Parts: sequence; C-alpha cells; structure tokens
Amino acid sequence: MKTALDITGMHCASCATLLTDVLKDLPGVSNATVDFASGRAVVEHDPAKASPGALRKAIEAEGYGARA
Amino acid sequence: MTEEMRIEGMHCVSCERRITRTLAKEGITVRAIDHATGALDVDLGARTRADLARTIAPIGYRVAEARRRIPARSVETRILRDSALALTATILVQSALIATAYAWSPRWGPQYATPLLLLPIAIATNLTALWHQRAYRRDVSCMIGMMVGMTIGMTSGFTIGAVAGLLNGMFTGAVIGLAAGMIAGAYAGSCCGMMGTMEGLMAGFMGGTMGAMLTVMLVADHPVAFLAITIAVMIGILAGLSRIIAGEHEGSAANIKPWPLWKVTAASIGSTVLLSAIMMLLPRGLY
Repeated sequence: MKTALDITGMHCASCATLLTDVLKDLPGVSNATVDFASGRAVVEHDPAKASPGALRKAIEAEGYGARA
Repeated sequence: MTEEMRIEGMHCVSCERRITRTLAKEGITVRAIDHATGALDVDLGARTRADLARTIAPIGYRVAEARRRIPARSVETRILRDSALALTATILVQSALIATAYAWSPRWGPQYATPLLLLPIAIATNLTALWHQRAYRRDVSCMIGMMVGMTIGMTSGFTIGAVAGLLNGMFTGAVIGLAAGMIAGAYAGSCCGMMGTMEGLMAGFMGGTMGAMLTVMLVADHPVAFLAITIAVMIGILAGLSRIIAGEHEGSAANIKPWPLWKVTAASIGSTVLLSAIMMLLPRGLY
C-alpha cells in the first residue's frame, strides 16, 4: 500500500534524507521517498506491520509534523 | 573508548541526527555532536576511528584531518602584500598633504613633517594586524581575541598619542591618543564580545595617554627618534601577533576572508588623513 503524507518543519535537504532513513528503517516499510521542496513523503508499506498512524508517529518523533 | 573529532559537511540539526542514527547502527554511540562547530564526541565501542569515517562517508560527511598547521601561506602573503600597497599609497598621500601644508605655511617644517610621516607607518601596521585578525575572525579563540584587542589598543593608542603629543602638546595629544586607541582596541577586541571590547578600550586608554606623555617628557631630548624606535618595536610585536593568530587557525584556507585591497587602502588613507587633519587644525604643540 502507498501512503502520501504532507510533512511540515523541514528546513533543508538533510531533513528529507533524515526522514527517508527513518521511514525506511521502520519494520513493514519497503520504500520511502521524501521531497524537501514539495514537503511530500510517499511511503510503500505493509499496513499490517506499519500503519499510517505509525508512520506519522515516527515522523513526529524526529520533530516534524505529518498529515495524510 | 571515547574520542573527539571534527566532522566536515554538517549544515543543520538534521545532519547531526543523520550521523547519530547512522553511527548507532554500527554500534558507535554519539555523546555530543554540534553542526555549527563540527565537534563530535563519540564512544567508539568496539569500532575504530577509521570505521567511523567509513560509515559517514557514504552519507556525505568526513572526519577532518587532525589539526592542520596553518597553511594558508597564500592568504598570508596576500595580506602582507595588500598592506604594503596600502602603506605606500598612504605615505604618498600623506607626503602630498605635508607638502601642501608647508607651501601654505612654513610652520609645517621638518619638525612636524617627520612625525606626520611616521604616522601612516604606525597606522598601517596596526591596521594590518587588525584586518589580519578580522580575516581569521571566525576561527580565533577568545584568548587570542583579547590579546589582539589589548595589543592593538595599546600600540595604536601609544603611537598616535605620541605623534599628537608632539603636534598639539600633552593635553590634546593624550585626548587624541586615548580616543584613537580606545576605538581601535574596542574594534579589535569586539570579536569576543564584551570581554575583548573592554580589554581593548582599557588598553587604548592607557596607550594613548602614555604615548602623549612620553613625547612631551622627551621633548628636550630626541622625541622623534624615540617614536621611530617605538614604531619599529611595535611592528615586531604585531608581526608576532599575526603569527599567533595564523598558528591557531585550524580550518581550511577558504574560511579566511581578508578585506579587498580597496577597503584596506581606503581605511589606511582615510584614518591617516583624518587624524593628521585633526592634529594640524588643532592648536600647535611643542616646537
């Protein structure tokens, strides 16, 4: 399943890379792309292991905001 | 085993987080990390420094080489060359000023012309040390900043006060000297905040008043010769100071930003002519 999230609070390309790393490290996430310019993240995940809520929580834990 | 090092390539807090996360996966614990200074304090665990460097290289960061002795010889050469050019230009302008004054009134004869010609040397040397320190500004410690403020305040105050003492007598000389010394000292020391500024102010005050006092007390002797000796000693001290500033510098040559030649020349000519004009317009002094 693919989930798109709007991310707030990114300052630079490193923030996007950081969030890509964080998302890919979650169990159940097979691929993630985060674009700094548009503030958009697209995550391919298995909703049984990683729910959209868990994705948001992981992003918020790094200090950013996320909305579906 | 804990170790401290400097990391190049960090821009923001996210970079700190990326490095911390990446190292954690390799069993290296980050104790402290700061993107502004690049400082990294880690517990390497079973890993080595080389493992750490290999881990962060693919994500775009590298470990800075251990303390490089300053190297930026080309920058040093440029600062000295620009200073020499600015000094030459200032002496030419000052000579023209003195010649004009002499043509206007014979009062501006050799006894005033000599100290007025020594003035640009004193000012340009102090300015050289000043912009040397400015060029390295971001990379010098507070300790050096205070020393620079103190030395430049003292030397510029002393020499300018001495010339003003000869031209305008003790009272006016001391006032001009302390004002010039305090401005120069405070500006030089301001790189490390209130502490350096105060140090520069105080040293400028002391140097300025002492310079004026000295020439007035020496007036029956050889005040101008002593002024020349003072300036020679001062050049030596400021050259040593420049070596200390350069020796402490640790980053790459790209971080050193000397002023452009026009700015150096304008500062040198501007301050020399301004001070000379003030001294020449005020009531005459000792001779």
